[in-house]
Amino acid sequence: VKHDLLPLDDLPRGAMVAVRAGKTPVLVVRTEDDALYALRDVCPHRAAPLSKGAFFHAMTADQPGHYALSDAMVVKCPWHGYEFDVTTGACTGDPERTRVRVFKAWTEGGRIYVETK
Amino acid sequence: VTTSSTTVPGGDQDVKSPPLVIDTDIHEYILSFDEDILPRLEPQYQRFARDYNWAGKGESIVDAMPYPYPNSGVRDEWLADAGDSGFTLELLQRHVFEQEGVSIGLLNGFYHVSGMEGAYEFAHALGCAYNDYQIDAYLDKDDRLRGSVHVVAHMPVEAAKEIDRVAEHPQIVQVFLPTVTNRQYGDPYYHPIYEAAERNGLAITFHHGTHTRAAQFGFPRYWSEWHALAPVQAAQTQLASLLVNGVFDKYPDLGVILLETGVAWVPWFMWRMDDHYRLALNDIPWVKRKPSEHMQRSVRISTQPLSDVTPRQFEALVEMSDSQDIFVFSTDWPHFDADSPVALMHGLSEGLREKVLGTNALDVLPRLSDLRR
Repeated sequence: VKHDLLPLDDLPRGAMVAVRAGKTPVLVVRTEDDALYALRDVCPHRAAPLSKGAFFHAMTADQPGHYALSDAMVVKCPWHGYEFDVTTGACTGDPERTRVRVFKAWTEGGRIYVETK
Repeated sequence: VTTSSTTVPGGDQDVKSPPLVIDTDIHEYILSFDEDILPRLEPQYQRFARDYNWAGKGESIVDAMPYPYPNSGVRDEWLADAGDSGFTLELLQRHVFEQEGVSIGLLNGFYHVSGMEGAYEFAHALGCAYNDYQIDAYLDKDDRLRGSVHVVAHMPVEAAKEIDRVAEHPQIVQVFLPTVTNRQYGDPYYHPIYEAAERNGLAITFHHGTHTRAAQFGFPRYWSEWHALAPVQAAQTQLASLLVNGVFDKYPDLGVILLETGVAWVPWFMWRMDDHYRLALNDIPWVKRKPSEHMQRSVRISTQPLSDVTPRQFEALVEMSDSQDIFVFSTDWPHFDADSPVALMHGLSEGLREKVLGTNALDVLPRLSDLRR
């Protein structure tokens, strides 16, 4: 099902917004390089609204103590801090077993759309 | 408990070949410091031991533990067999191989030179002497035995050299470190030890000793508190240290064995560490697998003391934590709370029995790979 959500201009780069697509709570994020992603706005761990958390670059390191910010963007749950890759919905700490549903998101005529089943 | 070479532990049927039983925790003894260690020390350290009133000339290294044991510390009938001769190689062979049906036994000793809190150069010299003793007195006399390199963790570069030296003996399969709580073994300071172990195809084996403190109290007031908690707490803190400091990411072919901590804490530990990995991966982003995955791949934990855990409970515990690859068998000969492979494995499913008794250990001990059938 195609859902017309909001004007693209209402979502600045690097920001996220909580909307509803029919009955489904959806979190839409817009990256600094202008990519759009949409995730179900419910953490699969304890059902917290991911939109109350944070949207930023994932932390990485190739050896102990050598912290750096990676190119990957994640949403961080406001309750327990689980982080989810916005492109796949996979939890960075448990990608095989813990993931949030993702939806196709795109722009059309200056508006943001997502598709849900 | 007696078994014959044609009896499967826990089963009644006769088979053509005996089961593979790897005992990952046997404590060999020195019988006399003056005869077994002193002649193997360099002259300057012979003087330390002989002329400078050093108090460590017993069967174990200087003993920091304050407690009287509630018993002799060893199984009564084994103690009776030892008599005036002590726990000799012959006694070890009779008890472990003949009576318990063990195929291959790993020696861990009592000589925890890493437990010495100071005099590190002397401790290193003692460790080298002990390694030579272990080879001369045990490994060279029985090809069913496998041995450990005893090193001083405080001197990781020298420890690595000693690992390279002793690893030339084909029956050496692991490096021994005591689970002390005054150092964090995951710290990069100790990594030369792991690098040396990995390049020589050796596992790292941890076992508590008389220097092992409980995590909170140091030495608690009574032995019961210490024995119930300190070995497990120390093992947990060191395993967590190895995991979060990325030792298993940095040394993917390194295996680690934790001895004599029992089994029931393992599911809790895996769940708790995995939970923290999910909620705080940004704290340790250099760790590239969940702690439970690292454990399944690289860590083995001995079942002893299994205590009152029934086979059904053990099976359930393994199933709910997906830890069928993790547990390995050990007797802990000759201690009072030793386990028997026959008694222990009765009632376990055949697949789990085979893994715990033998094949799980092979996963982290590359030098035993020829035992895989």
